[in-house]
Amino acid sequence: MQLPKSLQAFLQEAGNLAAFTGRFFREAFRPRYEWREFIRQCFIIGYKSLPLIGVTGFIMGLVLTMQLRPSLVDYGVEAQLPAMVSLAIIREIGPVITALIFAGKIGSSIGAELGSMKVTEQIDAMEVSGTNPFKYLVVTRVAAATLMLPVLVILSDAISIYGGYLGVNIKANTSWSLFIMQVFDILDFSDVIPAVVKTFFFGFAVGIIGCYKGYNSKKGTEGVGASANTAVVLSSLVVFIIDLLAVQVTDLLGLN
Amino acid sequence: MAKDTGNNIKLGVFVIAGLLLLVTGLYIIGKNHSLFGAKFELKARFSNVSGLVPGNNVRFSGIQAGTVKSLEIINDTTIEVVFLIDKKTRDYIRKNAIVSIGTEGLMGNKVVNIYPGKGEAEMAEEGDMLAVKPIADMEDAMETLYTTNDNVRRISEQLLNTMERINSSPALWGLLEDSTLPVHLRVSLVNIRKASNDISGAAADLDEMVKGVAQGEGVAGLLLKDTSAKRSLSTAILNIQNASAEAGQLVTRLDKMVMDIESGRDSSMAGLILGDTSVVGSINRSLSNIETGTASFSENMEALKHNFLFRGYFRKKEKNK
Repeated sequence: MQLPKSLQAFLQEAGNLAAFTGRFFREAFRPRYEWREFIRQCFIIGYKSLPLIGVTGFIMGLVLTMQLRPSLVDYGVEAQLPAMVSLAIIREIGPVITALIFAGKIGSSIGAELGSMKVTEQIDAMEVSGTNPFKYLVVTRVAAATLMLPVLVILSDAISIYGGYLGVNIKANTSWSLFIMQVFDILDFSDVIPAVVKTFFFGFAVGIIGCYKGYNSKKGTEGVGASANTAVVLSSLVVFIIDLLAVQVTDLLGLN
Repeated sequence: MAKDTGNNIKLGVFVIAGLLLLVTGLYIIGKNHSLFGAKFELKARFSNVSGLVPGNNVRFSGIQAGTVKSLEIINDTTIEVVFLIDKKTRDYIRKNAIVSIGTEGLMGNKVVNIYPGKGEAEMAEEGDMLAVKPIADMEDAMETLYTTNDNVRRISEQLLNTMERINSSPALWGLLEDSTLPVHLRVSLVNIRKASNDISGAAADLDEMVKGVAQGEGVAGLLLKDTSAKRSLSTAILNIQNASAEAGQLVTRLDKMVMDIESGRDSSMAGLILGDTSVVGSINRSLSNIETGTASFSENMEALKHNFLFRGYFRKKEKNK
């Protein structure tokens, strides 16, 4: 039986990605480790993304608060605004929005960087010189993305909640201590921990897809652009798919 | 290399800040759920926990004091709830404290309330079983509310009916819209006040009169109070009775006499005079003659007084007077 070409291509891509991921795990846990490069990547991927993530997080918190406010006022539960905003940010909006911004910034940069290295045959050169390009380029980036996104999400959540506090204070008046007390009063471990755990998967997905697309970039400058583009698109889509799976898993575990 | 070190420091600050935030957040959440700090356990048995779950807050007189640790079904009508209470609240919870399950707000989470019991009791200790107060069930409350609503509906219907009748009554509105009414009413009130003053004056007079009567003053007093008057009165009445009986007889006799005269049976002088009309004429003439005779006689007597034979006698008589 002959499968449609598009389906064949999709399955081939999925198989290649799975193989790439398998190779990542094989290489990642085998010494020697590229610590210096890993730290450098952490700095680039994590620290340098903070301003962007911080600004978007702050705006999200502020806007979400101002958007939720009229509905809550209609129901006479304006006092629940801090609780609602913090729940929305911690459970869903913080991780997902941060992961999407991260996919846009880091997924594309990894895809473009590795893609250009691929098309300029730097990766081949590296292999010749005795350095394991997969370990040096892919493992460090994927590990850095996996570990830095959760940190970014936590910082972004904190900034968003501060934005929410300012949002509440635009129309009403509440003290910082009361606001924080209301936020933490509603939060439970089951809100924070699954949300943080899924960001590791988001980070891993963004890193691995960026690396895969870049590492397998086709020849020519056009290929670099294409790999950067598809890295962003695919990793954004995968972020949502992981989010969907995560909510199912937390539901099954009774954490919702 | 120096640049690398600087970057690593920034990265370290970035990662540590993130981790600190996470740990602090988790610690605050844990603290809110009483996961840290010294605790002691208390128990209570309910027949219905109304959806209480482990982790729900426990409040002592409204202050956060701990959380629900576990719920266990003991038998078909008993559920044992174990609470974790902060040690610092321990000094205030006595053995006679009362536990009830309530709700945070109208629709919020369930919450366990511990209230101090009345009277003296020892301090509660680890694992003590506290008394419970039956839950104010939402369904009961709704049922009561339903009854109240029904009553309100009925009352409002009746009120509506009454108001409609009042509104459709032209007499009442006429009365209400009559602008002279207040003036008349005021005048009437003044009159009533005057009348009541008069009545009170009259009553005072009457009172005085009654007092006088009681003391035997006046005719009424005499009648009512004098015992001898009663006897005299009865004698008088008896006399009146006799007199009236005699008067009756007299009338009968007079009646008979008149009848006799009319029928001409009476031959006495009176009967003759009254019965014969010609006699009356004769009498009238005779009387006229007598009158003329006496006038002449009186003239003769006057002439005689002036006669010299008799003048001395009359003078002597006047002197003797």
